[in-house]
Amino acid sequence: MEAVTNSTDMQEIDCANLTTRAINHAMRDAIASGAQSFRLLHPSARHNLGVALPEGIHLTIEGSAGYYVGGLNDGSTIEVHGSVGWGAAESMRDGTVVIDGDAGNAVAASIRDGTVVVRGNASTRAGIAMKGGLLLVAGNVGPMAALMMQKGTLIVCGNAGDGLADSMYAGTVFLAGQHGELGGDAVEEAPSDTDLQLIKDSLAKWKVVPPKGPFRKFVAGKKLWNFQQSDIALWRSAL
Amino acid sequence: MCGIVGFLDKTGHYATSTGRIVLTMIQALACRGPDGAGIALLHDFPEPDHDDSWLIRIAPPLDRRVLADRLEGLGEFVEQFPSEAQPSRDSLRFGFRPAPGVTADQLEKALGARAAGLEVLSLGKRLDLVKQVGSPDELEAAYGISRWSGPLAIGHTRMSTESRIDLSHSQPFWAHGVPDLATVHNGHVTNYHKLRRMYEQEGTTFHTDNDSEVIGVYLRDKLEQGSTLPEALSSSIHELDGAFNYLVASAEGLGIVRDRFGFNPLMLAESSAFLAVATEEIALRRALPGTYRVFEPAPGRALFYPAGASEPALI
Repeated sequence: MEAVTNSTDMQEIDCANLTTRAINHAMRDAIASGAQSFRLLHPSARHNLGVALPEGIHLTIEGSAGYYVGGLNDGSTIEVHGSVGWGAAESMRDGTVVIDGDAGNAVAASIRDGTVVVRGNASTRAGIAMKGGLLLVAGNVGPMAALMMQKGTLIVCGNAGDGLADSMYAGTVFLAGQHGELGGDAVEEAPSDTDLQLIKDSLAKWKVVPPKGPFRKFVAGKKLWNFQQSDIALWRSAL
Repeated sequence: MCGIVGFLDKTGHYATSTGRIVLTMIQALACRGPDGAGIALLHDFPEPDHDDSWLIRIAPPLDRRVLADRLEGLGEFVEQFPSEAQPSRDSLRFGFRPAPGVTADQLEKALGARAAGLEVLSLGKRLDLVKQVGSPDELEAAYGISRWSGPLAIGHTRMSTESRIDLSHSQPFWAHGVPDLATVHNGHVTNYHKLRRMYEQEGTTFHTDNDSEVIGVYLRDKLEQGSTLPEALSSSIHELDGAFNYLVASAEGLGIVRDRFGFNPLMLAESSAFLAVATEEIALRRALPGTYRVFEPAPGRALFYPAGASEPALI
């Protein structure tokens, strides 16, 4: 079955009657033959599209993707012209994932480096356990954003739900909108000039309209690094 | 992991039948669970002269004479409901007009539910509920649900995590004792045993060991205490514990509830013509063509879409 139609640069795959396995295999086979650039048509929100793509590959998905799109990204660039389900870019080593629409739970979970951009809103637990890299959300994030973040940066141009920056080890959250109840051990500090320049550069690079309000900065208070009896109240309230 | 789906036709004349849409959605989610499939649908039967009869479905079927014996004195059989397009050997559907003052509980007891190994799958003026062990394809083969039509329906594919694999433990669950109310649940109600003990002490009969059943028992209890259905959905968020997305099909409309942490996925799509909800977007895309936004509703919220209205009540 001819799944891949060749054109000069971009290989198109019509997902309509293919299994996810067939789609991913078609890309792998084409990559082995030197192809670098793919477009998936009619993805219909399938899960696990473009998982673990290697360095230098460019994938465009024309529609919504399901869970774990671009998970285990090994240095590729993925654009989703639609929304995504849970765990987009999960455990990405490096690379870029840009989502035009909304992102489901746990976008950019555990990423080690690279950039994830959500042009719509992100759901619960955006950037959970990030280990580096940048998650930029143009819209709002739901509850528990940056939960247990270890390293890296979350920039939220919209509002955040309850539990922002809960139980962070380290890393930085910048928020322009309103937050609900802050997460356990989240501490606000003033952004530095370097911080503000980073934000400005990121918004410009990804063509995100800067929000009206100023960005606030949230970091880990580090009281949850080691258990102290005097902090028992904090431990009880942490999620 | 179980899959749940729901669909509400806002216009009353959506191009594809509600039964076919819900079937397509649970077929798309069949990979989530092989242990059972079922749907609960509000039929759009023509209005009868006296809308005081119930459509009742029991499993397994009973001989007509045995049925008549058991319901002797509690009312009379009626033929006003359209007959089933595709009757199955595994359940029996019939119309019954209860005598004044006779309750759904009384009918259920008279039928010998639970004690006699018989299950009342559904009871209501419009509600019909079919479920069985096996796949959505097998459900369609048994009942032809793709030809069912009505204003709204919910559906379920089951991966058993806590209880037996049989028809009785499959979903949807009729909220026993409450005409025209059914639920589907994805997740695990962790205070099930505590709630069950409490309700049993108050005299409630549980029909299965499936924690999902307690949702309908909870809603019934709240309704009997005077809550509206939307209020009961809202209070359940803090009174049930654990992981739960659940959907409710009722004569009043379609309800959607997510636990406070959003432990399980749920995607919602809305257009001017419909409201659709499913565990995975893949089910929505397969069943419903066109351009529409799909998003994950906020956790810890109850949504209620009244049948025939165009705006939800966000509670």
